[in-house]
Amino acid sequence: MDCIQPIETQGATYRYEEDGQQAVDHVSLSIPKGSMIAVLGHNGSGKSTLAKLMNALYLPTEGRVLVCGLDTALEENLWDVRRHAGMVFQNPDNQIVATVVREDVAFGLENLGVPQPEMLPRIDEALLAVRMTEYAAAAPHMLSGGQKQRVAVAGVLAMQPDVMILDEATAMLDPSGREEVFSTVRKLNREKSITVVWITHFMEEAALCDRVLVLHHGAIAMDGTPREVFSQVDELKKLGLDVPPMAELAEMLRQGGLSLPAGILTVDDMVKELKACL
Amino acid sequence: MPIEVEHLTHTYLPGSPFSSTAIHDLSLTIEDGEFIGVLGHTGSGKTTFVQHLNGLLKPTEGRVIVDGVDITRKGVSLLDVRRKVGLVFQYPEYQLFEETVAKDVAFGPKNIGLSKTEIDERVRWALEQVELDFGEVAGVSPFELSGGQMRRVAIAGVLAMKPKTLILDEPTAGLDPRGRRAILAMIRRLHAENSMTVIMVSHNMDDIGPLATRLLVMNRGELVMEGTPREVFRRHDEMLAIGLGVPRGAELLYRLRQEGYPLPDDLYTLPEVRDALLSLYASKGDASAARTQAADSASPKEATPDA
Repeated sequence: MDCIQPIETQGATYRYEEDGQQAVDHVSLSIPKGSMIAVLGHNGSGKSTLAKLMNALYLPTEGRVLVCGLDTALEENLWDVRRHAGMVFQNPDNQIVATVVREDVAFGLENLGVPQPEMLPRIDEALLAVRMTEYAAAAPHMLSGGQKQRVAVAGVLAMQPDVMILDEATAMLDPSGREEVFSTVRKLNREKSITVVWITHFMEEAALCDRVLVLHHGAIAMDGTPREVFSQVDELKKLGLDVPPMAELAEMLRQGGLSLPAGILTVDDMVKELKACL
Repeated sequence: MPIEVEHLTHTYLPGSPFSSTAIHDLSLTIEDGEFIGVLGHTGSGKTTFVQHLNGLLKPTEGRVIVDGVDITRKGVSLLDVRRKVGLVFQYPEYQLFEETVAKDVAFGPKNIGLSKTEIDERVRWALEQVELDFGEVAGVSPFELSGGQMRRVAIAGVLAMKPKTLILDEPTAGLDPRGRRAILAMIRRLHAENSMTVIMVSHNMDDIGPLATRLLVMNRGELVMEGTPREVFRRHDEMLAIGLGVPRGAELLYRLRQEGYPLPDDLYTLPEVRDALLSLYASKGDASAARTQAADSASPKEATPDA
């Protein structure tokens, strides 16, 4: 089935308790096919709740969430929603279920009732895509954190989803593990046109996405390209977030009298701009 | 109370097919009041190393001497060692277990047989140190707190032993930016106000740079670099070669030096990098001011001169 509109939320709202605060507060947003969107926000801002609304782990208490046009609130859509939108969580040790990598990747397919002859090539293809083929027969506990997360990504990928939602999938990894998981997912996004929702605390990862969404008190506080969002240094700080160091330095240099354009995020950007004025 | 490490070697599962040497012949001395940053790639041996400093791991070879006592000898009271050297693990909040915050923090002091009044005092003191309000949290289940607060409770449990040396293994891992900044500020204060020796394991250069008085850089179980942050961060190529970076400020100046700009190689904090860049800008005089004007009016790409 062709998925034209991977994720659409219409006034989606979620309360954990009936009279409690809204963890997600009337969020309306649509994520175009093939894009990679970063979701930022401090703890408690509603990022994870929003993620869980996107694959029917939670159902909105108000409003609607549509995954590939399917209303997540309708029970008959549940399996299709989960097949279209796969999720990867933060802790690599909490989402590995099997004792062999290949079997772990098979888990989701078994649940979907995919026939075995079809299963094997899908597993191989998924492991290849995350560059874990040589570990197919390995025991997951012998892998590094980054490798475990790539196995988790393969498990979702094997289900051939249209959307992948990664909820702080790199939070527990070291810098090289973070880079290996991020670039793997970015590549899948580009080459297989999988729509990605990338929830993170790392501004430098967000800077590499197509679009950045900032949540605050469950509502959308900022929404734009990385350059648009990260040029608002004061606003980000007010929301309890970091600013990429080079964006912050650019702001400091501007205050010192240097005229630098908006949107400097990386060392590369900064070198280029400084060469123009030094 | 210096900590002396002499020819420390640690091999996991010696004699088995999985035998691997995590630390190889490491020697160094940590003086009172230092703030040590331990850097290294995953698997470099940094966690194994710090777990020797309070006797949690025994060396395969070599000695660790804390306060004149060889803690690797048989028959040494590890309880004494742990009173001197507190170790906060990675994700320490996973080790909380008591019904209330106060009971959890009291666990260590209780085990060393302190009086009830002394225990109470220590619990209050420790919670104050981690900036939690005793009245607010003492009777609450630790599991009702936020992740950042739970981590503070776990750190308070170690502080309640009143160690002279505090070791923290990746204390900011998994926290959001606000939580990270708060924990770092707290550690900085603990070091400054209590003249505590702090040893912090981190792979975040931007976290450790402004705090540490000395950095230890480990690679494949060996101590490969040692010095002040300034001394270490100027060794850009070596740091990159072992899979570590340098803070972005240092990286930027390195790149600009490669382009031929006369910039110092021992700066890394953003304010000092700004000052260096602004003074270079000022020294360029009118000619460059004119060029800046041009850069302003044209699009950035077109304004970039060929290097």
